[in-house]
Amino acid sequence: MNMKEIPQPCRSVRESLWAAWPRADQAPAEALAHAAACALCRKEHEDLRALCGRSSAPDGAPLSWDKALAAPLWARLAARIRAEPRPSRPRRLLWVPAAALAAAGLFLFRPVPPERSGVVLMPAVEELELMEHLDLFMDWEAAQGLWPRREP
Amino acid sequence: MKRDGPGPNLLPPTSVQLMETDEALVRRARAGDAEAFGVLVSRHQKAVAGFLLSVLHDLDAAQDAAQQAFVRAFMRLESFEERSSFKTWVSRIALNVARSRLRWARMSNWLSLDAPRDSEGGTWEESVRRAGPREDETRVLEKKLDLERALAALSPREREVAAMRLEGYSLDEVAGVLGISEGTVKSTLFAATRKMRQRLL
Repeated sequence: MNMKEIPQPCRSVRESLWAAWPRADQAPAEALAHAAACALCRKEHEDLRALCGRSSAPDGAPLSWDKALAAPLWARLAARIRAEPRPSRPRRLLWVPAAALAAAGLFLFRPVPPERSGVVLMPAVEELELMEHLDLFMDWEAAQGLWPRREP
Repeated sequence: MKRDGPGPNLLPPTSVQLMETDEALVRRARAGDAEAFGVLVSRHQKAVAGFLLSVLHDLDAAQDAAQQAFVRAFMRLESFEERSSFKTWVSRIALNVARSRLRWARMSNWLSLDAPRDSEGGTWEESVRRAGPREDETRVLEKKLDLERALAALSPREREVAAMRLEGYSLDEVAGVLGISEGTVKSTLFAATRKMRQRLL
């Protein structure tokens, strides 16, 4: 049956039932009560128990990987932790003033839009000269003469 | 109890340590008591490594990822804000380690979910067998492998949810590790178990 065809109460009961996987005995009592009265949901509960059976050892415990992962981690971990000592607290605290200085620097030297600054930006003298002779740009030699010559 | 020495000792946890809450152990580990961290590891290693095995499909990779996750957790203990349990926090780290490994594996095609191979060149199943169940556990192992194949056919998210449930994580813990709602965990689990039913029943 398509999930959309299942009535809403049955849908939420099934979600509650399957949320108990892989421990069928942990299914909520209300969901179990509904499953007892509803044939379709009873089948779901039976499936849940069957799947939990396929997911558990003979003693009923879920099939976790304790045997495969029996070797304790701590022996190897301890050696690795010893090799990589944790940064000490004072060293970590050095970042606080450094970050505060960086933030203050960013605030002080942030770009301010001209219309908010209240200062009318005047073009530099060299720029004014250049503007007067804009037409000279047609002649590259003349334009070059406007700039002070730099010694190599 | 703190012992002298250059680093964490390798002694098994004492009964007093086993009775301590995770919160108390985290506090001691933060103060530099690596032994307390060792107790946390022994308490949660099975669950973490177990779900990593189902996510990564490779025994060596799962053990290595679990080790990496616990080392990372130890290095970042200062940043653990205790808004979730230690188990949820370290599992989240482990999941991130596993996901980045899977991304890398997909990129370099080192791991194939269809025919996973371990570092010794054998199949994943062979590596599990090498890890050594006794003869009388063979049937249980076969069941595990059937289940593992069914898990391998799920989408990555479904596999993560199912793997954590299998290792005993509560719905609340799964939601905390994955950063999703409990309702989403339920519906993901529902979709996952539908697919598993088709394969296993």
